[in-house]
Amino acid sequence: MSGAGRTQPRPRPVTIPPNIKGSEVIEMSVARQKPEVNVVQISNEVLDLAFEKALETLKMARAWMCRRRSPYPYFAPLLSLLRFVKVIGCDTVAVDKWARIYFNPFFVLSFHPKFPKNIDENSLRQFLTAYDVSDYPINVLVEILRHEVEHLFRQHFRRSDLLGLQSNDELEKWNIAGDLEINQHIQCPQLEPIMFVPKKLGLPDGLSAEEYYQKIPDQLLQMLKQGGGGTVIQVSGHNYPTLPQRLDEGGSGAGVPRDYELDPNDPQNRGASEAQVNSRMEETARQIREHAKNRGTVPADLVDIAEKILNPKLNWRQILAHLIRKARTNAARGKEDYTFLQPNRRDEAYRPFIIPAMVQYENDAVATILDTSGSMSMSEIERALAEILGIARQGNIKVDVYMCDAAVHKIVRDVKSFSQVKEIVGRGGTDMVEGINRALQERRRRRYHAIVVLTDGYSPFPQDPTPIPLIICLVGKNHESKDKMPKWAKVVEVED
Amino acid sequence: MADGRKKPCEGGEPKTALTEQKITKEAIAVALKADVPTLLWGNPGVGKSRFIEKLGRELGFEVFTVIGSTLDPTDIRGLPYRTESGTQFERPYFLKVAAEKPSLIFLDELTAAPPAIWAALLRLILDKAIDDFKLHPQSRVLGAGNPPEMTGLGFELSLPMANRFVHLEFKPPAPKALGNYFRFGDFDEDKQIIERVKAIWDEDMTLYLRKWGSVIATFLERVNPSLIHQLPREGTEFPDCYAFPTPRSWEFVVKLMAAADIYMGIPPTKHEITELHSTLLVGCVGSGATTPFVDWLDNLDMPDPMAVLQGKAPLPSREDTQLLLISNIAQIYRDAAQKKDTKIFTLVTNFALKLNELKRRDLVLMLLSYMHAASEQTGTWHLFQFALPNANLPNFVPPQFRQLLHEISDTLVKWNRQG
Repeated sequence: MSGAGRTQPRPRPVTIPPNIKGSEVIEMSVARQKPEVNVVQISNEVLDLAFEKALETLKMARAWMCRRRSPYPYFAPLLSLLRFVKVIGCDTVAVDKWARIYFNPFFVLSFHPKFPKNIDENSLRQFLTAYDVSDYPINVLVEILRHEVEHLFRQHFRRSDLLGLQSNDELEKWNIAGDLEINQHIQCPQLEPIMFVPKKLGLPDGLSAEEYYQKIPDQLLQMLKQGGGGTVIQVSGHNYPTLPQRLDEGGSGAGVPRDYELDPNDPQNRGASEAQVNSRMEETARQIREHAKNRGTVPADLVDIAEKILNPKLNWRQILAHLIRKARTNAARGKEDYTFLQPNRRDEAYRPFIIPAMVQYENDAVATILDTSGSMSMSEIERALAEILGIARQGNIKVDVYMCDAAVHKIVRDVKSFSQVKEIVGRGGTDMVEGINRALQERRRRRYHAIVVLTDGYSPFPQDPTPIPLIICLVGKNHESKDKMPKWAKVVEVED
Repeated sequence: MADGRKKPCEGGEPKTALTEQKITKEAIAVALKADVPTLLWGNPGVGKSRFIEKLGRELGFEVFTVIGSTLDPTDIRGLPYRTESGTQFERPYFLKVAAEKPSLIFLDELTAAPPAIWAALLRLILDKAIDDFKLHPQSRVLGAGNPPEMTGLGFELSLPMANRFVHLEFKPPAPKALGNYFRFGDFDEDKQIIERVKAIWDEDMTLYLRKWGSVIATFLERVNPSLIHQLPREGTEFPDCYAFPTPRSWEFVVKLMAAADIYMGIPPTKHEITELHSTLLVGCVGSGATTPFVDWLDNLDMPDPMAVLQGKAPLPSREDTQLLLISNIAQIYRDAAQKKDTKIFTLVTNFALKLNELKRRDLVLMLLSYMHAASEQTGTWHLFQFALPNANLPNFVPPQFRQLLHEISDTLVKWNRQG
């Protein structure tokens, strides 16, 4: 792992000697090992002052970014929702799912040109009392806040849920992956040393966090675990590093929850609700779209995300599963019925009355009609069929496959895997009506509750609604338009 | 400072400290208070029944857990028998008790129950009655099911049925919460929630119901009538596949929001959507309707910028509203600069001074930055000229404004230079 992650080797922290006590005493313990870590004790009073100045600077930076003239005016809806929270334990900056920002005041202030080189109680106190916000390099905070807001906007918290990440290592890795996705667009010399960018890890730009996640070397995590170096400010036994290893430490907003995060309904610092975050996300997406149209300076992947938020595309797999299940439920409703052919299970108690029993039929099946005409590509059929088989297995449903071009050539019953239907018969003209009619004839015997047609759509379809639901899966890049399908049929467009 | 701090956790290693289950539990408690039928969705074994049974007992209910998949329609309706006056039904024991005293009937594994059972349960859930047999008015019925993709059977809830519930997702507990449960025998949050809901159980909802009734009436009448009724699209994700706006679900929303306000201690004069409100809203009308509703509510708090300038309206309390207000005031200022309307200039500068008194340097900076930009665009009122020590201040410039300019202009100039 050459040159990965860092431009120079980072010092590792040492455990703090137990003999250092007393908050007013200036103590500096220089560790023996190289690279070095200083531990400096300061008073609560200075810490409070630092929190005050850092908070003011953060708020001013936020207001600065919310102006219409700011470099990223489109993030204003999300930025204005942010709430800055004081907690112990945050090394750098983090954001939670409820749009609250946690921060280490000394990290925020350390970018100020007058931040003392030799940190101690006196120098810090002097710096803080003479603190002049106008000298603060505002672009640093602008980029940091933008980084945090992008965690939310890129929905890193939802995406980590989707990947099912749980262990600490997985989450840490996800945090880096999310950072890589964001940081490739950030230009800021002061942040450069503590920023993970794809280049440093020898990875290409333009990948998604999910792709980066697969490619992050495990050694990087090991290195992170060693901790940062420089001066660590200690107040009442809690550490505030001034030279951390990375820009931010995620937070639940990035999909990486931290211990210091507050309850969403914390009475003093109530977070924004999910609905609010969602609505601001949509507003941001709208503004990004506008901005990209007029000036074109928005990173392309942000525009893509904006479009996805504004036009959410439903997953065809989900739609297909829903339709098949729904058809089964509706069909089952007729079958889950009373019958006098079997005795009621409480027959004894009812005598001399004869009470009907409930019956449940179990041989549910789906007829799948494969369009085997010449225009169809096998890989696409395979994907759609695999999905149907998956749904069927879950629901204990049988699948019969009808191979049909202009006529039904072959019927394979109880298909369990794609290999059973690999040999395609047909390759002639196209008429799905043949296949549908044949399936309808078999309906009673095989207890079909739905017919699924896998086709590119260039085929005639029955005029009248079929007695059981007809689900048309349009397969292939150049499939017929959805609008040309019969209105009464359920249509699913199989993509990606 | 001390109040904002949190006790540090041992180790400092990241742990999944998600509090989602807590919000779901709070939402359940609120829905019980609001008397809105509730359906919990969650995988087997995540602790649904355990929590419901505990909550119910603590609130003084007789709790009955009925497993849907083992039911026969007669288990609900009772056994028929013949008397002189005709056929009567011997009702099952739990229903008889539920008619006598406040009871909580928990219908577990509803989704595994055959649809024929649902039909029998429908009236029980909605009207708390079977035929002419009525439950105690204080009794509650609550259902739980496994999401269709989790159960082998995979029955789907029909839309008319789905619309009669608020849908809540019950996620597995966070590792830390579960750890404490095994160590100390209980979830920390349960006690908190139960105490809170006990304290508000008898509180009167009338004022809150009136407030939310009028809020939602205005929203549906004037703002977004298309959201009165909207069926879900095929294949949308949970809970949007079950939760969609109808007049009935909006009525549920009124009740739930009222109860959530009481639970959160929000006064009836305020409109606040907390995470709890948001969870209940999404579970009732789906996220497609929730987003525009919350959006509109957010802007409802926005005061008229002119009124704020004239001191007739206070500065809004929420920071996001404040920032938006400054942008709106900037617009007024720019128009005034074009027309050289000095009255507005004085109003805006006085407002900036007031913000400075309130120690809101962020808002002052934003406002002055906008004022500066406006002077560049329109060529009137060059702010930095007013800051010069020997400049003659026109009479529409408040004298203290020079001091404020001195304080902030450095930042404005230096930050502007950085882009």
